[in-house]
Amino acid sequence: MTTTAGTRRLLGPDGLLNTRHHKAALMVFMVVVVGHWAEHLVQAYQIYVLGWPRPQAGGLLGLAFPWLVKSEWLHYGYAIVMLVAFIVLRHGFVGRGRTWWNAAMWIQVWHHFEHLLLLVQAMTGAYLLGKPVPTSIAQLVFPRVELHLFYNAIVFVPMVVAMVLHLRPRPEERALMRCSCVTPAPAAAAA
Amino acid sequence: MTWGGAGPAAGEHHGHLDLGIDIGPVVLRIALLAAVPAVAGFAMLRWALPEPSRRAVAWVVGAAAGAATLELLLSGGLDLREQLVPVLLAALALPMYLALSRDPRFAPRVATARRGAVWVFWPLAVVAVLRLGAAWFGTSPPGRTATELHTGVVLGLVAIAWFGIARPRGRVVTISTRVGAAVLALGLVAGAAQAMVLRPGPPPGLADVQTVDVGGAALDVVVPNPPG
Repeated sequence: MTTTAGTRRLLGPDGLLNTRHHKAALMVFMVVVVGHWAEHLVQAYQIYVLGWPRPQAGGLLGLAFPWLVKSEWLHYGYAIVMLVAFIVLRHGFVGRGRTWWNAAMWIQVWHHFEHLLLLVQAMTGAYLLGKPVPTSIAQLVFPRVELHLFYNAIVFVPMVVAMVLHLRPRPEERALMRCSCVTPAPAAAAA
Repeated sequence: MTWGGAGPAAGEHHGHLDLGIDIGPVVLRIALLAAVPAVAGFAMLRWALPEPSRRAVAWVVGAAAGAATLELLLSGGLDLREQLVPVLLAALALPMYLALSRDPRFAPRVATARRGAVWVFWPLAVVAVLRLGAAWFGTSPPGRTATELHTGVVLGLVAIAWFGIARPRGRVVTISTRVGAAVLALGLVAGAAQAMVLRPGPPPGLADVQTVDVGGAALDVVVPNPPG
């Protein structure tokens, strides 16, 4: 994928999203992820603090658009957007940050697969192992309500670690960085 | 992502209710009946093929994993503990990693795992063939034929995935493994085809009604069919 003629590619290791616009792209991604978390926290607050029945506890979006949060498409859509962002933005990371980012990406691959499985079940009416309702793989082992909240947590933590390490690189990592997140070395800045 | 906001059942099914589309399971059956022969074809023709590329092996393993996942959706239940299903999926993911791994740091371990893959293939293949045989030769309980077939097919697909990445040492082991895989592949095609055309039972959770002959009179009997 390229931008207009004469400009650089948007994607890939040398693409704008992994070089000049990497910082901006990460910020946009972080806003989306934090917004998602905020919705989950609001929903948890509604259930566990306010004592709302679960059908009414749909977070902030659910108050305005109750049909939206009950749609499988929304859940799958968020999962695929996250996965694409992890894949597209990974080239900007180096060293330890790349390792943590890759870990988050692979966990999200599984999380996405689980949502894909749920989406297919909802579309076809063929439920996993004859269950009466759409069921994800991990539900076979863990009886849970908040399993996917857990999934988001184990994706979010390595993602944040990757970003922190990315913004605080070691000298050898700084030498490899080609994105807009790189800042002058402390010694150079002092000089 | 989860929203437990769908009533009492939300905790059970993740709160996903509305989709607006119901395409039915036919497309899944078609996909399964395309994937299983592709996997089986690789196993049957392996002896006549040159060393497959990394990409070809990944496609075969991926097709086996996809077919096994479709089986989980279409089977209505397997004759296995449910907790083993994630283990089977992990057993399908590992060959994919072994097929695609290029990291020189792990190359020795990958090579060792691929040499030992036949020792994963053989036990799974034997159990799969036994399950298919039980369905065909009447040793499975009445009404369990489809379940035995689905179970045998899933185990057989995992076995073929490991066969795909296997690099056994020795001519005898190599030839016997290829013959075993070819036999299993034939069973897979037959088992998957039969399982797909068997009349499905009522969905779990819905009681079945059957008519029995009692002293010459027809009597409708409600048969419990608990979910899970």
